[in-house]
Amino acid sequence: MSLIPLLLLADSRLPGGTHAHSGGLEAAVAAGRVHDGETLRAFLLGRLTGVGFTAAAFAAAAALELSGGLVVGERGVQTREAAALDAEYDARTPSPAQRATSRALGRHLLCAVRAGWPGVLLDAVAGLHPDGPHHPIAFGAAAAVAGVDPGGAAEAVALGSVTGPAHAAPRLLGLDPDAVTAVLASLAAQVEQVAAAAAKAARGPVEELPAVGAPLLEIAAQQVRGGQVRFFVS
Amino acid sequence: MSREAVARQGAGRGGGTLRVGICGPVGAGKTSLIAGLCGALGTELSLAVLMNDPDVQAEEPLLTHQGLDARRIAAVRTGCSPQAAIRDDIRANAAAAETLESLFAPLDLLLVEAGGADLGANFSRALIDRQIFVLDAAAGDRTVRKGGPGVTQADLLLVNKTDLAAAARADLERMRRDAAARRGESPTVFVSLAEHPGAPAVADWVRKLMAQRRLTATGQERR
Amino acid sequence: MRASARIVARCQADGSTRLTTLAGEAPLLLRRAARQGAKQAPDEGAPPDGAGTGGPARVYLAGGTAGPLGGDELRCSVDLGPGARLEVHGVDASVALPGPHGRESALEIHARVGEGGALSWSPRPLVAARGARHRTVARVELAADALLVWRDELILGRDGEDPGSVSTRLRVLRAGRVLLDREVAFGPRHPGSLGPAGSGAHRAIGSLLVVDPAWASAPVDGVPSGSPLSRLTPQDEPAVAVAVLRLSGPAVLVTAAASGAAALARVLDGAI
Ligand SMILES: Nc1nc2c(ncn2[C@@H]2O[C@H](COP(=O)(O)OP(=O)(O)OP(=O)(O)O)[C@@H](O)[C@H]2O)c(=O)[nH]1
Ligand SMILES: [Mg+2]
Repeated sequence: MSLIPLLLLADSRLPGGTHAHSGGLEAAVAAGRVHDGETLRAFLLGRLTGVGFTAAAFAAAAALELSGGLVVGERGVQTREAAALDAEYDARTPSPAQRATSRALGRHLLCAVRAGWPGVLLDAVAGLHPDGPHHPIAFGAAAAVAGVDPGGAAEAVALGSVTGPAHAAPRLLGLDPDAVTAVLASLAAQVEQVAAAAAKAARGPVEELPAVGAPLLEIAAQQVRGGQVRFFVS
Repeated sequence: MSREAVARQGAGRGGGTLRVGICGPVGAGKTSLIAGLCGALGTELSLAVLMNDPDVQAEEPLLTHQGLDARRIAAVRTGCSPQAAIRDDIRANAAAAETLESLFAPLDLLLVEAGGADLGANFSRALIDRQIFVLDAAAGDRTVRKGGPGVTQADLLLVNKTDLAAAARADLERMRRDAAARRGESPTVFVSLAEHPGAPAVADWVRKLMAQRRLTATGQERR
Repeated sequence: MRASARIVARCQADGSTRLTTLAGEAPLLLRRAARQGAKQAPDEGAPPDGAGTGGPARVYLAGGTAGPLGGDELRCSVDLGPGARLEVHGVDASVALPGPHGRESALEIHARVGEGGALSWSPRPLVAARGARHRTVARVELAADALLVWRDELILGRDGEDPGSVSTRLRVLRAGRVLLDREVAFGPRHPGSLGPAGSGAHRAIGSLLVVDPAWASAPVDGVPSGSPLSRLTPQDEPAVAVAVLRLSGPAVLVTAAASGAAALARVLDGAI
């Protein structure tokens, strides 16, 4: 597998709408749970092993399912598999706010990726749900058409689950960007482990895919803080 | 690519709703301008407003006071990076714009207010058809000279709060000269939205754009 | 230790629910409630359930205070026929403890609720004692018009103690389609789980799932009005954090975290 498509898809500057999302960090900062490099690292680790793991497994499963490159008509066999994955991921996302975020980011990602890798497969995946497919499903589909293998998709999504909030940290906390890089580097081995476990789980049955959630992130995602102005969508 | 070429490319975003982006530093008068346009054009045109503002609830009354239906106002959060949201990664804005356009079809005019940003801010031509950059005369008279994509690429430069220029010792003549140098033929308007809230010059500019748009639309139909 | 428990409930001609099977073994002991409709202390020699009252059958799950122990493999199955209604309550909190060989303890629950049936599952909290490794996996299959209340409470460590590791996964199918699949995992074996994206400063984490087919026609966003759920005030405070989450289906998940077991129980009690 060439690394270039993977690097392109994982580039945080890919215009997929992620820059306005903090992955719950804004709320955690507002609640005083994250305030420095150490608490940021703990936050990122929790995200990685929780929603990061679940999302990475779904991305790998979607990549695996869709990488055959063969589509039987608009609503072919493969989109049915993708629809099943989408429904399973939906059930793993009890928070309506998080579901909306995931679908919006899935839709935005596909808009960006379809410009680079147009084709019926992504068109069909984009049509899975009126609000867009869940982000991991969209990412897996993008990986499939870009020639990224399921393991690569899992790595990118696991990494993305921490880089998103990490890049929001300097904006929210005025944290030294170099300190953020240090935190991310210290998590590299764990990202790899989580991605490997996710890719392994992706080869199993759909209903057994990971379902780890994070109650405090769910709670915070639903909070409309009285009078407090929010800059990030999530 | 020349500015005209970029603009032509922008005009190619297609027919339908005319999207006008409004950009400029915090407090320059973007929302005041939009309120003025709502008042001036609200009866002639079907319009909607998309705001890149973290606290749109606070801004809404300014527009509804001008007769705009609150449902025609949508908000986008930019994650503390207002420029990224209108230029580098326009997904959220594009999606919100499309939603407004389909909810209120046929929509004539969509005004998109950017989050307050610096002189380097400008809109992606994929998001809007025309853009206005608003400057605050009370913020000093060197802003136009500094230039930047906002000042040089805007289809209309609006220097607002001229009523405060003297108090801030800002030389409006100097700004006029700098604008001519920086912007060539592109129009620059000096205004005090406090004294002339309807911004007639800007409203006329929009009317002209609308007329042009209708012309090309009927031309295309004939072809 | 291996142990299993089984409850089978059927709806009678008079509309009452009869427990046709009630079999348990330590540490999964089952007791019938003394009389239907009255909240009373569990009593083993009680008369048959609910005859003529129309109320749900009530069973107490008496696990004893010690256990599950590392290495335990526990299974519990619940089968409600069409129209059958059952409440399962706990007696005491159970305390997951480490076993002799550092092995994991596991509890598997499988519940099925037929057409028009109603299951309310509210055991007492599970305490993850220091060094414990426990896993609960519950799978619930609901008919399209079945009702469900499912309560889960985890306490991270006994008083003043570091928590052990514990996870619970709840998967609910409704009319064969997945409605909720959710695992929460806390403790030293789950990296990051005790941090600000995990339990934060809270020691008690719980949830309450309510599935009510009557909500199928209600708007999918927001909490069905009129239910006690709508009285819960979402908040994110150091003492209590709670949200009421509407699922993509006729179901609501109350998810809560609190400084301690009592505060958590109060929040979840308020939701029923
Ligand atoms: N004196 C004077 N005040 C003005 C004028 N135009 C606007 N203001 C005031 O300037 C302040 C900011 O105006 P807004 O229209 O909210 O500015 P904005 O660019 O939308 O600001 P942000 O959205 O916060 O970036 C308000 O208090 C207006 O009343 C003007 O021409 N003269
Ligand atoms: Mg404004």
